[in-house]
Amino acid sequence: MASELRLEDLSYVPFSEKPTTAIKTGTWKYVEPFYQNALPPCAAACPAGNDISYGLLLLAKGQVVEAARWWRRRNPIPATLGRVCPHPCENPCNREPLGGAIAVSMVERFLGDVEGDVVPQPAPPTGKKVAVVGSGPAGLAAAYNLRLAGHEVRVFDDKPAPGGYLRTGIPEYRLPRPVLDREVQMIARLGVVFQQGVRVGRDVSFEELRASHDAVILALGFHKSRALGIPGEDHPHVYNGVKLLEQLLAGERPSLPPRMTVVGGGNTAMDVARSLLRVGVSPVVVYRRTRAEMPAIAAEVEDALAEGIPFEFLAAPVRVVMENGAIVGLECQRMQLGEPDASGRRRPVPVPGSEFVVPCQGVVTALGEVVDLEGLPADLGTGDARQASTLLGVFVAGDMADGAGTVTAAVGSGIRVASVVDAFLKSGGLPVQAPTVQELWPRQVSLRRKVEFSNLNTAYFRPLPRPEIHHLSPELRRGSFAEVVQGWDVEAAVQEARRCLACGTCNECSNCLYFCPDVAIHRVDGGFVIDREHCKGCGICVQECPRSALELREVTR
Amino acid sequence: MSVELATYDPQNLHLPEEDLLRSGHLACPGCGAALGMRLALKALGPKTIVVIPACCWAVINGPYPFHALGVPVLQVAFETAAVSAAGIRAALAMQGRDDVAVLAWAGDGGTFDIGFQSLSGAVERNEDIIYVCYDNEAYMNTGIQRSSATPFGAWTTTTPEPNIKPEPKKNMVEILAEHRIPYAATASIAFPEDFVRKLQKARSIKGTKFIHLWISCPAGHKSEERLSVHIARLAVETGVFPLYEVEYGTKYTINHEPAFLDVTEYLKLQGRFRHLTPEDVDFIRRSVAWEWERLRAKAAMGSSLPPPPSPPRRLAMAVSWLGE
Repeated sequence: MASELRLEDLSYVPFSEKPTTAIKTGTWKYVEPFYQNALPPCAAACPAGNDISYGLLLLAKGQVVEAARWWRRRNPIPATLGRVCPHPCENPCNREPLGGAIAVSMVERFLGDVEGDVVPQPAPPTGKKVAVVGSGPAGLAAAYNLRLAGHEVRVFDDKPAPGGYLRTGIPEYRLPRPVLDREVQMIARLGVVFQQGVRVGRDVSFEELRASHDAVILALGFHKSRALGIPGEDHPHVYNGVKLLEQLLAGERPSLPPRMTVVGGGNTAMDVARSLLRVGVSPVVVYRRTRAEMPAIAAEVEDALAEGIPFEFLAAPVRVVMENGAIVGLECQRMQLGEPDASGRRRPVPVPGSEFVVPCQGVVTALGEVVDLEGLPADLGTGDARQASTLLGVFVAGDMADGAGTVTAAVGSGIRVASVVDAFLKSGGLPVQAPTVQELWPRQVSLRRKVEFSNLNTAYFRPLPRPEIHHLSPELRRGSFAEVVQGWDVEAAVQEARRCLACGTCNECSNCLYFCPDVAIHRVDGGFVIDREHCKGCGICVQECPRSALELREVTR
Repeated sequence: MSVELATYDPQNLHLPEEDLLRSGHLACPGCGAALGMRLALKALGPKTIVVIPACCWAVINGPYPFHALGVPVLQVAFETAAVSAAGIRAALAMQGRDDVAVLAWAGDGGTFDIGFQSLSGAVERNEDIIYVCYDNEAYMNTGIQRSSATPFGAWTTTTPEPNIKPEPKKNMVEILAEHRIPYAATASIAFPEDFVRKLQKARSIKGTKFIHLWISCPAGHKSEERLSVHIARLAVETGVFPLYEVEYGTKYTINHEPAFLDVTEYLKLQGRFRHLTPEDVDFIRRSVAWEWERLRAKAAMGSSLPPPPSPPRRLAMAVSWLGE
């Protein structure tokens, strides 16, 4: 008996030993998958162009500093935006039906506060000089991005410290000053020169500025209040909301009447009312429409209501009521809502004979602001599609350009204008239009394909509740400018980042790899490759991708 | 600052990385049987011998001289998967090797119909093999003829409209469980972690292990190739194909509580069910509900029964399947 059976003794048995990899089944296919990240709804809605899902992805992996650096790639003030932005990104969040939208603002605030090597390195010097007029969010964003592109940047501002409206208009209970100071210092440390207390048109002429720089960006913002236009407005106890706020935020404590009416429904009105409450004044807000039409950030209105500030809706001021030279009230007329106006909100219409008096000893107007162009050429215009003014080499940004009225939109405007100016300085020409903030992402994303909830494979997601966000109790807020919204620690931020569905953003979950019946997907550093010689084009990988980061295309031969 | 995290998304799949299925095999695009084999070999690893009778996989494995698996394969006659595997187990035992898993891998035709008597015989002898029936619910390889695994109402070339199949699907897991084997289970390609766990559990048990794997077949189910995993998931989530395991014919464990989506979600994606009338669909709906009641009753009964009596000590080895 043979001690061992050898293969050649089995020659009469058909014996296959060549691997099937020699058979190129890839020729069977008529469609093929390819990896293509798509636009998440949050990022599509972000006026500052934050690449939210990718930042959250890094944070979810525990790469905290990398995530913070990613966030600061073009946005110089995430710690500020995380506190003051009305986060339009959270409205279309696909997580909403699965436990509630991701608390992006809380994560942004956490990432903004991360210390360490979080600011990108500027490119080598180009020798070009840019003047930025205005150190508000648009000016800061423009300065930051142009400095990162290697240009020499000087910022001119008439206020004692940089920050623009962030400093003069946003109270400390929303934005503590050390947070703003730190972000301004980070920009200054890059080499951006801040020339404070210099008003262009007064301390230095506009023409002089233009002559000594290769480009000028005007980002003056809206600081000039509109007038009320009613009798009694010139009384000394009728205050301009923007100016009063600036005084209060600078630490001044003027003697104010005990009860004051704040007229307006925007963020300035909310900031004034809530600041007055904190210096011992009883405010009452008068607004001519209803809560639903208020242009103020919803969370600010909620906070104001939580603090017990009374609102008089559907009321328009008619005159300031005075007795013996002192204000005793504000006479208002009752309104009702009529047809929608140009802004899409329903127009308030007066109800005849409905006058009534709101008792008060002072009035603050906060009716919206406009730009103050004193000392500048009157025919600059508000910028075209490239944010270029009517003068060559002079550009506009922020509220001056679009009047969008939020810090986030101003940052986006600053980022876009920086890209146009950078192209102008490098080539001497101008693009047809300013790129969108999303077009400036370094990561390759199909911007035409926005990921909707229906594009997700929800079999891989289970509901996870949105965490609580803690607010300082209303009792503790009176008489104190302490920050109202409490921040998160690293664990809370990472947990929240892990709740992100990463719509349209490959997070290497490996579903495509594991579900391929043809073993035609392989892991490589930083992602996957498709073995096109063997992929049969079934499309299971595309279907089973939870987040729509793959597409199918026809095969061209 | 850096945070250590074991796994950064608990919802991601976690499967063995090694692949013993090679590209270039001859399965149709979107084939559930190919995906099933890939997952099975991920679970069992390289120390595995596979026995394949006549079935789709006899073709998928490649024409002579090609071979799609990174483990030895024995291709055998249609009705002999279980006994051939038992023979290999006997040969391994003679060599003194007990570290090799023997996997019989047969289709529903070779299991429910043609291989049934030899399977029942091997199972009754409690042969130490893992038998996986990958079930695409008809003889797909030969051109979609009905098998006893074909569900009620499905179109096949031998149950054409209007003479669609009137009988329900044979309940193979319960038949095998009633042989009182140590382990019988259902599995789905849409629940790969569950399938891999069941195979690894099977490997750790001595005696016959039977796994009924539901797979999609785009060609035979008349479904879109890309939906193969999706339809397999819907089979489970509508309750049509429950995921459960049975130990020693008695202890039933339900592994996944379905979402109980309406059966139309599952039926409408497959052309083989296109002709069903609302009355037919309602019958399927009520049958699914009844089968679930029955399954839950069995699970409840199994958990309340005392363990079976132990055999006489001198026979304990021979009838070890009775459990301790």
